[in-house]
Amino acid sequence: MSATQVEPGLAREHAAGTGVRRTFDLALITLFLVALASPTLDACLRSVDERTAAHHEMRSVLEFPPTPRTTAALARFPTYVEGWFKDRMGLRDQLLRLRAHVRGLGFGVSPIEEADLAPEAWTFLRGDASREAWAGALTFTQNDLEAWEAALRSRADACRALGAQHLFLLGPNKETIYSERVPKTWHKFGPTRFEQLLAWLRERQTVEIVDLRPALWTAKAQDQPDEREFLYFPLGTHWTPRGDYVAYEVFHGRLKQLFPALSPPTLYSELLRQPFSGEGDSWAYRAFLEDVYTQPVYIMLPPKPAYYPAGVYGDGRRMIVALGPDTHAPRGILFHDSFGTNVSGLLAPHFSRLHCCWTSQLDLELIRREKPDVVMELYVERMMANTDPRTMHVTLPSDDALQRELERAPVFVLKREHFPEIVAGAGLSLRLAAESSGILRLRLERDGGYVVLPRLPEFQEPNGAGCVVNIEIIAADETDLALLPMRTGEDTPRRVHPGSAHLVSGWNAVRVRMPYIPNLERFALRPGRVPGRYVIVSFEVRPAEWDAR
Amino acid sequence: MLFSSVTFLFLFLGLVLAVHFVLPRRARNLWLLAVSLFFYAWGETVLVGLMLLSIASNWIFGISIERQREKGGGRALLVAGCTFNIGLLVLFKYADWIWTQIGVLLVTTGARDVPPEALGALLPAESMWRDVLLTADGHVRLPIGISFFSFHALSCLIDVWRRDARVPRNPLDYALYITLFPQLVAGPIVRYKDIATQIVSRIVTREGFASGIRRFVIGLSKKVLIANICARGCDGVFAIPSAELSSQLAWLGIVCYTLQIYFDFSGYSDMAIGLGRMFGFEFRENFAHPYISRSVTEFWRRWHISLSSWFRDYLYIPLGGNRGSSARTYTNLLIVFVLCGLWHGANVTFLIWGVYHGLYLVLERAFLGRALERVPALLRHAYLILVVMVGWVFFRADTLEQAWSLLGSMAGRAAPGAHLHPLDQHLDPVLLTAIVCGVIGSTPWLERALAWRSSLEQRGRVGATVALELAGLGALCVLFVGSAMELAGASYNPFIYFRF
Repeated sequence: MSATQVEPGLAREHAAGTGVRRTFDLALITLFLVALASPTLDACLRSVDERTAAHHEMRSVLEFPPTPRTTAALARFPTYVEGWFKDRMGLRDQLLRLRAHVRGLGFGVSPIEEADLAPEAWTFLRGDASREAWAGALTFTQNDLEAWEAALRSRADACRALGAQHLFLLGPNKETIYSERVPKTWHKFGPTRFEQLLAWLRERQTVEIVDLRPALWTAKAQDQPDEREFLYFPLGTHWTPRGDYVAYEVFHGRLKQLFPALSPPTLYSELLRQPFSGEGDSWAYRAFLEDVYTQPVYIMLPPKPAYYPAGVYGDGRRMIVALGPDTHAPRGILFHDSFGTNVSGLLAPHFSRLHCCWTSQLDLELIRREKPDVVMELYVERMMANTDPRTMHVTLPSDDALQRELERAPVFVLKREHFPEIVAGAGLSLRLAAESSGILRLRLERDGGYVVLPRLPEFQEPNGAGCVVNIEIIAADETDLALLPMRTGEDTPRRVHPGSAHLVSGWNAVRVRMPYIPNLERFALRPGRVPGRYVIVSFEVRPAEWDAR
Repeated sequence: MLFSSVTFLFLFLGLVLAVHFVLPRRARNLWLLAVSLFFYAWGETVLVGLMLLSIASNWIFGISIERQREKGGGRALLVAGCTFNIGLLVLFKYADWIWTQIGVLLVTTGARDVPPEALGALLPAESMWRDVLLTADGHVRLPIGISFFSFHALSCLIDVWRRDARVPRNPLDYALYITLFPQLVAGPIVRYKDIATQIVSRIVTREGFASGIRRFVIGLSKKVLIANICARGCDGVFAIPSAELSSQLAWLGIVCYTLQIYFDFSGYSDMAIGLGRMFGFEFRENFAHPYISRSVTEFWRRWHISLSSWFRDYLYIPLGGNRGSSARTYTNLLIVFVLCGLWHGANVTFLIWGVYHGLYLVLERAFLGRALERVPALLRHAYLILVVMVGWVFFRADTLEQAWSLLGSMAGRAAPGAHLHPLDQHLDPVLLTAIVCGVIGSTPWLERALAWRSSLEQRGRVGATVALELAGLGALCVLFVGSAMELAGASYNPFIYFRF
């Protein structure tokens, strides 16, 4: 090593020292090498599941990327590998937790950008521009307000045109109800978008948003701060069971006005308190502060819950169809976001059938199919921070000819009167439910078992675009459904041109597009590959040309 | 792969060190070359070929110049070699910008109605080179570290021409000089003559290795615990529209940037120097507490020393330096600083920044320097800090308009929406701590502490020396764990499930 190149200050820094310096040098080298190796050692000692922090981040750990085969893939490969390593690095969870404690407890600053810490162990969401929205820094222009009004009116009009009442509720953000608890760095300058819109609509009186704030403010008086019992999770953003119940009460009151025969509301004291494993809605958990910041987590269930299977649509949207005990009760659809999941469970017993769909898109096709008495929408206030009202606008087809065609459309819907025609094939037993809803219960005894469904009307145009089959089916396990066409004169299903769909465990709404099959007479359905129980809730076939409209 | 990444720290570095010290000495250079190329390819994948082309070409140029020089010739080869390196730099770093400026000029003068398509559009749409040479938006890709390895190569060619250095006969030694991963992507600019003997033969001592660790950990923490935190503060301020930017926030933003750029760059240099020492190399210092300077002239003796000395030795002095008339000296200074500005990036803001510093150097040489000597040291220091901070506004801004706007806010221009961004939403206790530590860390307190420790040691104060060593070791542990903690935090990637 050339000593002449070392500047004076530097020379002092690593001049050969005394025994003391040599001892400390050795200690430093040892510690450094141990520090470099420690994540690898941890990775050897603890499995990925034990050491990953991904469950705090509510996501899956990244998999190792496939071998790159193109120049572009090669360029991305290192980034993917780094992502894979970061996710699986040993001690990552410990380092994140340490960082959270240093920042959160040492500096009083949130360890994550998505949420802010507030006094008395509260957290408030920063994401979705919540702070700016609360402060009044994001305001609507008159054009925005007009666009929102037009969008809401279009939704109400569309529902009424389809024979359903319409209710639109906005759940306030936590900071709207607990504004006295926001972090000290949050400052209010003016009205929120929610306040602007409510004022605008009240003035115009063209369309209504059901305002949940007064009920929540009133109920807030019953909070028990010592028990950390509030209407919103102090560490999260959502309603606690009490908050859900307040929203349910308001909902019920409005529904009662629309349907006087609606069953009386369930009292809060009648609800069954059940423990809930996990941290619940907690940013403290996501921020690795759950050992310091705690809150009570439980759920409240109706005493007689509706039949309540959950599932997903083929396009990934979450949906639930709840079948209530009273078949004469109204039918409803609830479009909602995360604020609607628990409220829907409380509402369900008041409906004969309540279809809940986690989306802010008003699905007119679903409304046509379900023929509900009421369409309800429940979203949280912060949706207004990042939703363009023009995307909320819906338009019903105004063409009379199309309307007439809709009415004439040769749609086949499986009903109770078709049940005598249904034949169980080999490997499947059949139970025809007596309910008016026309539910078909199947028990698959072995893979390959199938059921032959009734004869279809002749609606396929020669050399046309085939047909589309919509099936709502409940499966016990993840499996694959097969739809097997049968032509005139055939006794057993053909294996040619089968349609298929992947089923998840629970409720599935699948859409299978079938090609044009000459002389198609009926379908056989193999509900899945996994032996067990299946329930076909609805089965509908329609020509693809009609469906495309 | 950045030094301040968990992949480098907990995967690459440990493995490279372990194998390096297991291998026999003669194989170590080959190992370092292999891992350096891997390090570069990790960031640039296909464009590692460009660097290999540069290495091969420059080695041949160097050998040829050396041979021709012995015969009294070689100037044409030197010109060709310099043209090749500057050409590469222009092609990859400036061509896009120059092309765009020409387009703007053509439109401004009415020669064209619309500017020509981007330079990348000249490549056929189906060409495989598009993936290699262009970014996703069709611009020419800037290969990582091209400014550094081009300047390395240029310095080597010129030193060979000047007979200050000899090109190694083994091309792998030359390749190692260019690619050596500690200094490859962000310097310091190492001259071949400074490390020629170290490439051939070097010894790693326990003291050297430990001092490398100290330097590396200090550099890492400068980057992660100060620069990165200040960067978040600065980015937040620079994202605010000018109509909503208060004067105090504008100053906060530029204070953050002033600390960010110093601790980022000097931290990286510290890590490079530290890593070099771990492998037995000794690189020159690149920073010497520039913010304690009392004039712009002094600042440039302390800031990015390897770059300023490169420009001094290979441009300013060949242009005539200060040996001619005052006017000639001022012109030379301005030429150097225009190019120094452009070296940092192809943008008019860098050009302005270079001219701005060049003008202050000219003014100080003309009269301001003498005037400054008559004012108290504190005022001189304030002058320097103010000049440098205003300069950083141009350096950081994306456009000239943004720079002028920020300067306006700093000067107190009224902003009707300023109330929308209260100071306490930007200046949290973590940032405040980073700023305070940054200000303290900009002074030479550590050197003074080390000098004090040495004096205690020389006076035989064993107890005090041990206590200081223990404190130092503890501090390094805290800095390392704190940095690892922040790096892990940067990998935190929550999925906000209720986005609509």
